[in-house]
Amino acid sequence: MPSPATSTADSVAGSADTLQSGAQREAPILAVAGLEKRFPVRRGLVEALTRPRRYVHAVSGLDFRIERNETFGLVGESGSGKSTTGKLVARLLEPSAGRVELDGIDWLAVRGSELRRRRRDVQIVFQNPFLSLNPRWNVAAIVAEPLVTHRTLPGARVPERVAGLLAEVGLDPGLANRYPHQFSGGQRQRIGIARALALEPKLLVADEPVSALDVSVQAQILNLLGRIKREHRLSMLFISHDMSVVRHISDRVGVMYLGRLVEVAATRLVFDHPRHPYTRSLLASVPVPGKRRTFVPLSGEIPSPLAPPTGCHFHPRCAHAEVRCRTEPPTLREVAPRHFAACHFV
Amino acid sequence: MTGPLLAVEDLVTHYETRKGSVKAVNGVSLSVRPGEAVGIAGESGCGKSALGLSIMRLIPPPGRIVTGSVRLAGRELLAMSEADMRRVRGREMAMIFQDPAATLDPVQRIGHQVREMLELHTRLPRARARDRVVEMLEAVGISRADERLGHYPHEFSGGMQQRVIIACALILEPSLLIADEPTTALDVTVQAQILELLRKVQGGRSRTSIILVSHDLGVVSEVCERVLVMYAGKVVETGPTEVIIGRPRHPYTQGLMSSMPQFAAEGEELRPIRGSVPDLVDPPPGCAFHDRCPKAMDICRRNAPPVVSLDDSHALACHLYR
Repeated sequence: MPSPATSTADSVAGSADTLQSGAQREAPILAVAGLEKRFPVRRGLVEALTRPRRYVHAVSGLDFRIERNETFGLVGESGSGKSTTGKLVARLLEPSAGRVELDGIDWLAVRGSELRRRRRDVQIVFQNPFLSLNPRWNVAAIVAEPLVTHRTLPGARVPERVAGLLAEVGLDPGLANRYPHQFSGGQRQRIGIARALALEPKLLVADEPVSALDVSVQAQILNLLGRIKREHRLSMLFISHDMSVVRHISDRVGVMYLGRLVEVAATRLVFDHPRHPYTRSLLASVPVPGKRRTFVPLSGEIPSPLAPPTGCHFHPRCAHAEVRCRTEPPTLREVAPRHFAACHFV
Repeated sequence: MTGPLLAVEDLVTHYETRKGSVKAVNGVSLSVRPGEAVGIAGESGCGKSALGLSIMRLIPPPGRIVTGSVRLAGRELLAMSEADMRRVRGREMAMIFQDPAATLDPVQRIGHQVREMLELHTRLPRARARDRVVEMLEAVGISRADERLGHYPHEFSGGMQQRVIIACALILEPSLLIADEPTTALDVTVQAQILELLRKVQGGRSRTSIILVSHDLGVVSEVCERVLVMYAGKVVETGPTEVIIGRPRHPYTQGLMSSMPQFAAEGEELRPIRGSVPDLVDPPPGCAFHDRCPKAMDICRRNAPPVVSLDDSHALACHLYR
């Protein structure tokens, strides 16, 4: 397993292969290696003159891959970098370092008109269906927009395709001339999904797609995403803070903490046999309906990403931390077959 | 004291809008015993927050309490003058909300904000008040509180801010705390800490009663012995938390459970409730849930279901159980 510092030079396939133990020979739809994103911290004038520029490392040293027809769940608390990861993969943000291979091509090398053309390959569904749809456009225009922009269809056939997409996400195509405010939150999320599906993307990034919804509506949308994924043989990066939702929908799961992946494995392994101390505490913190916990699984709060702890980011809150954890960042390594964790003591 | 600490009867709260009256609370009765923790669960728009605000008489215009009775320790709150009500709020009951950053004053120091409660409601000398504030902040889990009295809210994390608010709410030792989605804005590991704090508040010497309003039945079952499930402004089912979650009887409660990924078997589809929450300006006639209910009968479309008691503690409003 290459460390984040050295992996950029290595081929993506090499490091990502380690994450899969070479079980599948077909190239993955997405392979990420050494991915890093840092944002400069805004400074006042005096600070700008007297101190070096500081950076927040939103994500650093990410290695993971998503197989074809697989749903990869990213979980973590606020500030873990999961949404930044989604935006990097969708090329809505430019990474500071690292490599991303999308369906065998060097995705980060794609630029300009070529990038505009290929954006259809990765589509994204956002958390807030109230903000992600243009309130002045009717539903037909919203869903047609990607088709028109990418000219994937003759103009005359667009309405028919829009109607088909709306029906597919469970909306009455007869409502296509209505505006977003005339729909409920769940229906708006269906519109967002229809728009994302319009270009038949290779990878769908779903960033907290059900977090703004009530549980009964959340269930409808989760079922819809599951069905669409099966029928279109889609690959999906599913980002959520909700452990139960991620467990339900994902084939494999990555757990993030302060910009780093701390554990990656098949969903069942992560939830039934978590290896990283953070994953264990996180799972134990989730309230289970009908059960009463008798202890607090994890004390303290997530440190500021501006000044993350040295060594293992988790060490100040970890019950097992030793001297080494304070100085040496652990790398993500295979601790059991196809089960990866970044901890010195697993 | 015998009998309930809080007794709400047939409470009706409307919001007057251009489109008509939103029947946010539509005939709710509930009682809370001293030292008891009661959960109010339901999806957004079911009236659970409006119920909490109505009990506090904090319903903002254009909302208003139309009819009903709210008795705290035997006294009718709805008949009280606003001046008397202000004394009751804070001293006898307090309420905390979802967003701690919006509750705290961003330009006042933490210590001042907690001490203000004492200054408004008691005549404690300043030095004693300061000691009491430190003691209270430590009690809610803020260590080295005396050094942090001069800090501003933005210097605290969300979880710490919520602790400060709980300190404000509890410093006058009210007998009832209403917590409206107190952990919804917090990360799950911090949520676990705040829920533990609420449990301590309720189980401690003061025997504070708690009404916990939450959309999350997991959160409710961490704290509450008893839960009321609301739908369209009404209580549809109430009982001991483990009974409501383990063996729900109302089709709406059953639908909530089968919607939750926690209860789905691996690889199985969820079984959601169809449709979405109705418009409370013009709720469906009869049982407000009938158009989403898989077991709806003719009578459900015509008549509102009466409340049926299954046993001493478990009751529901559904025609299936008449």
